[in-house]
Parts: sequence; C-alpha cells; structure tokens
Amino acid sequence: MTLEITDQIKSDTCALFTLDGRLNAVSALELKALIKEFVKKGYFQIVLDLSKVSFLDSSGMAALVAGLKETRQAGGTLKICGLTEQASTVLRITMLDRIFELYPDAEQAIKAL
Amino acid sequence: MEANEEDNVKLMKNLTAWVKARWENDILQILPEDPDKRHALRLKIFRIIAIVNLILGLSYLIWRYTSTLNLSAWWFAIPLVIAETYSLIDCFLFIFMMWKPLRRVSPVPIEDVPVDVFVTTYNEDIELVEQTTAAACRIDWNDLHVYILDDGARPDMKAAADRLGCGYITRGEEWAGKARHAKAGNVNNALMKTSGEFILILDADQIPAPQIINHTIGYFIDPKVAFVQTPQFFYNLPQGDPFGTDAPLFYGPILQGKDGWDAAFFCGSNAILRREALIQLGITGYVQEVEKQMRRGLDHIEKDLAAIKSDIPEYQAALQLLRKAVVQSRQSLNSGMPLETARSIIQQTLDQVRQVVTGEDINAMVADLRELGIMGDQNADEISQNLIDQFSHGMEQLSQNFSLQSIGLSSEEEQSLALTRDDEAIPIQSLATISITEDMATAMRLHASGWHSIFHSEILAYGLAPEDLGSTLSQRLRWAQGTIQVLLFENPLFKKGLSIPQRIQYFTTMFSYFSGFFNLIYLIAPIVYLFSGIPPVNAWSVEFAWRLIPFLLLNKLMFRYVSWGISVWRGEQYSLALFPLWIQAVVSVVMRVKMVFVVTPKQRQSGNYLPLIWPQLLIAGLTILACVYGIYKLTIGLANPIGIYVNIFWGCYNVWMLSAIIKAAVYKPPENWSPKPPSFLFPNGETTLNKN
Repeated sequence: MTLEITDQIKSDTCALFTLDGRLNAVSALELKALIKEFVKKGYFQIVLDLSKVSFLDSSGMAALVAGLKETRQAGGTLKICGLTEQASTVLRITMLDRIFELYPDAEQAIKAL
Repeated sequence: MEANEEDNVKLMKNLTAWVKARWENDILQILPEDPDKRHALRLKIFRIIAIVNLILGLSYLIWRYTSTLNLSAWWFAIPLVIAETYSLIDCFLFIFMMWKPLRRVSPVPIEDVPVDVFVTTYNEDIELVEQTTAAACRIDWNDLHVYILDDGARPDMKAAADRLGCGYITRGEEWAGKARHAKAGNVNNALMKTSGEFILILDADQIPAPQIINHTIGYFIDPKVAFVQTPQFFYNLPQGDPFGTDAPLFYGPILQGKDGWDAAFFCGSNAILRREALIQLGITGYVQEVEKQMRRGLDHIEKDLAAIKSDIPEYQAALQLLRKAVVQSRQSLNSGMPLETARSIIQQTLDQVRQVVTGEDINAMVADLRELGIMGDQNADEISQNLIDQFSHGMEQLSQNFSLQSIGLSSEEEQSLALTRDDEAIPIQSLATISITEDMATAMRLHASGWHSIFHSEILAYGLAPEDLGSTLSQRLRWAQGTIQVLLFENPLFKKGLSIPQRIQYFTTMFSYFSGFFNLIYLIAPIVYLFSGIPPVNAWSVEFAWRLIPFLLLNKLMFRYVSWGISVWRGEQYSLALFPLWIQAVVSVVMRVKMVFVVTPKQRQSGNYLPLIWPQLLIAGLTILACVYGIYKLTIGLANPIGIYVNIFWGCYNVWMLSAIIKAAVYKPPENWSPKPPSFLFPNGETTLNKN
C-alpha cells in the first residue's frame, strides 16, 4: 500500500485526514475521490495531516489543488499541516505554499477554523 | 637385588639396540633412500590399504542393507545404518583426498619483488602484537613493508608501530555505519591503502621466521599461483595436546592431500598472497554484485509495475513504456552488454515517463488554479503562470525532487539501478565476506577463477593455540559455522569454474561437519540396546564380527599410516566428542541465527568448563549406567550374552572417546607453565612478551 488515509470527523462540517505513506501518482486518485466524497456529505472544511507523508510529487500536488478547489466551491476550505522537508521543498519551488493555509500540526489547523 | 636390576637395564638396552639395528640395517635398507622414491613407495602402500579398506567397507555395508536390518525396530535400525553409510562416504572422501598428496621443496626465490606484511589485530595484547611485528620486521627480504592492521584503533598500538618503525592502518571514515566484516574487512581495507605485489598475512600471535618469504616466494614464478599457505604451529601446546588442536595433521597430510588436487586451502594466516589475484577477485565480485543488485532491482520494479492500477490513459501508457523498458534492460544484461547500457534504457524511459506524467499533472493544476482565480484567489493566477514557466523550462528543479517514487516505486529500487554499492564501505572486497570464516570462501573463489594454490609444509611461523576448553570450543564452533555458511551460500558442488576434484575437496571439509548427528546415533545406540534389549540388527552373529572388525581395524591402520608418525588419537576422540558443537553449528547456520566473529582469546581464561560439556557428560553417564544394567541383566540370565558383550565394549569405547574432552574441561596447566616461542626467532635475545 503506497498511502494509508485515516479520516476523523471533527465537527458537523470539519474532517481531518491523516495520510501515511507516499502521496504520488498511484495514491493521488484515492485522495481526490475521498475529498470529493466528504465534501458531498457536507464536510467542506478539510484538514490534511501530511506529517507522515514521506514523498509528495506532482500528482500529489495536483490532488491537493483539486481538493482545494472542491472545498472552496462548496464554500469551505482545505488546510494542510505537518509538512515534511521534501513536501515543503516541492511546494515552495512551485509557489503552491502561497495558496494553501499551512499549519505546524492538526490541532492548530482545526483551532484556526 | 641391585645386580638383578642392573641386568634388567642391560637387557633392555641390548634389546633396544637390537631393534634399532634391525630397523636401520634391514627394514630401512629395503626402502629407497631418495626421498621422492620413498614418498612414491609410501603412496603405493597407502593406495593398496585404501582399496582393500574400501572393498571391505562396501561389502560390509551392502550386507548390512540386504540381510541384517531389524525392521521390527526400524526407528533404531534405519538411523544406525544411515550413520554407517555416512561414515563410509566420509572414508571414501578421505581416501580420495589422500590419493596423491604433494611433497614440495622450496623453489629458488624470485628476486626483489615488493612484499607487504599485514599483522592483523583487534583486541590482542599490545605486547603480543609487538612481538610478532618485531619478528616481521626482521624477515630476511629487501623490499619489505610491515603494517599493523589494528581494527581496535588503539593509540597504544599506534605508539608501538611508531617505535618499531612500521606502518599502522585502521579503518577510515568510509566505514562509519557500514558492515565491518571482521578480519576480512580489516584486510580489504589495508589492501586499498598499500601497494606491495605480494602480501604476507599474519595473525597477531603468529611470529614469522626470517626465511618465511625466501622459502615461499619462488612458487609465484608461476603467474597463475594466487597464494602459498604454510602451517600454523603452536608453541604453547601442553604435553598430549589436551584440547585436540590437531594442527600437525591438518597442516601436514591433509593439506598436502588437498594440494595434490590443486585445492590447498587458504587458512587466514601464515600465507603469502598475490595482490593481483586478490584485486581481480575483488573487482569481479564487485561487478557481479552490482549486476545482481541491478537484476534484483529490475525484478522489484517489474513486480511493482504490475501492481500499479490507474484509470488515466497517460499513466497507463507510461506504465506500459516502463514495463517494456524493464524487459529490454534485462535482455541487454543477458546478452552481456555493459551494465551501463541496461541502466540507461531504464533511465531514459523514466525521464520520458516523468515528462508525460508531470505534464498531465501540471495541466490539471493549471486548470484548477484558473478556477480558483475566478473564485477570487489573488495568488492563483501568478502560481499557475509560474508552473507553466517552470514546466516549459524543462522542470529541472522540480524533476530533481521526483523519481521512480512518482509512479509508486521505492527509493531503494531507484538506488538499485545506480551502478554503485552504497551498502558497503569499500566497493572492492577481495576477501570474501559471505561467511564468518573469510579464508575458505576466498580460496574457493580464487580456485573458481582459475588461480592455483600451494601448500608449503615447512613450519615458518610460530603461534598460540587457545589454552582452555572454552576458547577452544568457541574457535571450533566458528570454523564449523563458517564452513557450513559457505556450503549454504556458495555450494562448491555447483560453483562454476572449479574442477571436479576441487569441488570434492571443498565438499569433503563441509561434509565432515555433519558428523555430529551421526556420532550422536553411535553414542546412543549401545545405551538403547542395553536398557531396552531391542537390537538394531537381526542377530549379533559371528558373521558380524568377521565382516566388521577387519574393516574397522584396517580403517584405523590406514588413518595412522597416512598420518605417518603424527599422533591421531586425540583428533579422533575430539571428532566424536565434539558432536554437540557440530550439531549446534549446522542448526544455527540453517536457522540463520545471527553470528558474530569472536576473536579467539590467546591467554588462558580461568574457569571450570564442565557446564559447557553437559551433553557429553550426560551421554557418558548414561552409557556407564547402561553397561551396569546390562551386566545385571546378564547375571540374572535375561539377555543375549553376545549382544551385551558387544554393546558393553562399544559403550566403553564411547566413554573412552568422550573422556578426552572431560579431562580437558578440568585441565590445569602444570606449575610454572610459561611456553616461549623458539629462541632462534629472536637473534638479539629480546622477547618482549612476558607471560604471567
């Protein structure tokens, strides 16, 4: 298994996803589908904990952007927390770090909602 | 009374003189004086004894299988006859080994070639190493460079090296966090830091004689000779060899026998090796290892590719491309193309795939970002422009962060395609590291790549044997484990490049370590019979005696004949008595128990070693009880007398064989025991070592 996603309901509108593994071409589809499913159910405030993501590539980033679009269209938002060094490097290079709200950990991300 | 005693002494003297005269004037006269002819005659007699022995053994065993098995007690009969079969095969292999032993005479030395001397140490006493190194510096050779290879990196050792004016080598930073490979690693490390054409390897305690190079270097005139092994001689062996070191037999007839088949072993110390052979071995090993690693990598990639599922057509196409590349890459390996070709096939496809896959992702992101911009995000437009710019500039920055991992392959897999060995501190490893006994595997690989070996039987170095049972046992266990490891990882029977006799020579040594299981059967058999009365054979008949006893006697005689004056009893006792150790060795290797290279202590470790030999004590005790019980049954008339006599005799023989190791466990050296190396090794009288 490349990526394991655990979801946790935090409130009526908020869900926390904890990702463990590699967020790449193989696993990106799954993440995209999962976000879509939760947004449909009304959880449009989504927090992604990436602290256990060992690898993030262009497909993974595309999934993050798609997730952001999905939540915003529903009137919510997508927050990211716990970036590892590799992930924060690729986000910086692509300037995507400027479009996401980034937090050190899940607790602070949820508090900021 | 006094006169009588004098007479007796006189008589004895006369008798001795008479025997000596008969021996010298009659018997020795028959033998040819020329040593070569004498050797040839001895060999002929050995072969006759051996063939007769084999015929007797074979006919006995066939008779055993066809007409003596007591199948109503098959659980007893079958193991025993299997043990006997093992013994006969062992005997066969022994005779084959001794079939054409080589006696060699020092050839004329090659002049003025550079020789490095490696004194290997880890934790031995500084003084002991110093003594050996000082003797090494006195070796009679012009172009000589002596190095202490200190795996313990001790400052005191460095100081000693400076005092002696010799080189001092330790592991460098490249070894940090990598497998160290014990002594093999130590020597491999030094090979990279020195340059002499030949290398003399000495263990810390092996004091070389000054002529050690002069007497052996001449063999290298044959450019295909890789190494010359000389004996290990132990100057600290107490009278009677209580620990069964058996060195004179191994470093004599046995290695001469193997040498006859061009299969002399390298034994880790007291050997001179040709650097070119070692380096060539190291390089070949490196290339093979890298290729193996690459094939493993390709297998993994293929497997992982098959597991990746994707609906996106671009990805599917990309995966298809990669699958094809794996097949092509493997084909190019099979057809013997350079490894680099195979690697670049994958690499190029990967770059291509990366472009396609990333391009697809960028398109998706740009589209999403545009929508986010329309929804009012001020940064979105700028970021999407940046992505487009970066992608059109070749994505260099971004690509560095992506790799095979993008399509779901691990970083180890990508590593496997790089043509390096990151797992090892130094890529070129001349001395084999697959086993905890590096020497045997190294020799085998040298033989397999067409090099020859020499055993030179003259004693040219003097060292120390373990002086207590605990150390002896741990050394024996390590040798046994190492040998079986080689059998498991590089079975000589299937190793390419070895001649058939060479295969058999290596296999013989490995085969002999399986004796533990069969010796256990021999030890238990009389106990079972005496207690239960169940015989493993149909009948204890007279036929049994005349079929078995001549074979056994001739077998013992042959063993003594071939060892020619070297005492072999102790060795025979130990090979039976060490059965738990041989069993432990086989089981631990087969079960992959982790093993460590333990440096054999050179000083006597104090202690009582009886707990170490509890299995032997148990068997000996049970045997004695069984014998007593057997006599009791006989006296009340409940048993077959011949069966009881035979088994009591057998049991007593077993107890006597086991007695050696029991004595060794409680052995204490004589008062004032302080063995010294021969004084001719120290022309100036300075032995630095003061043994307490």
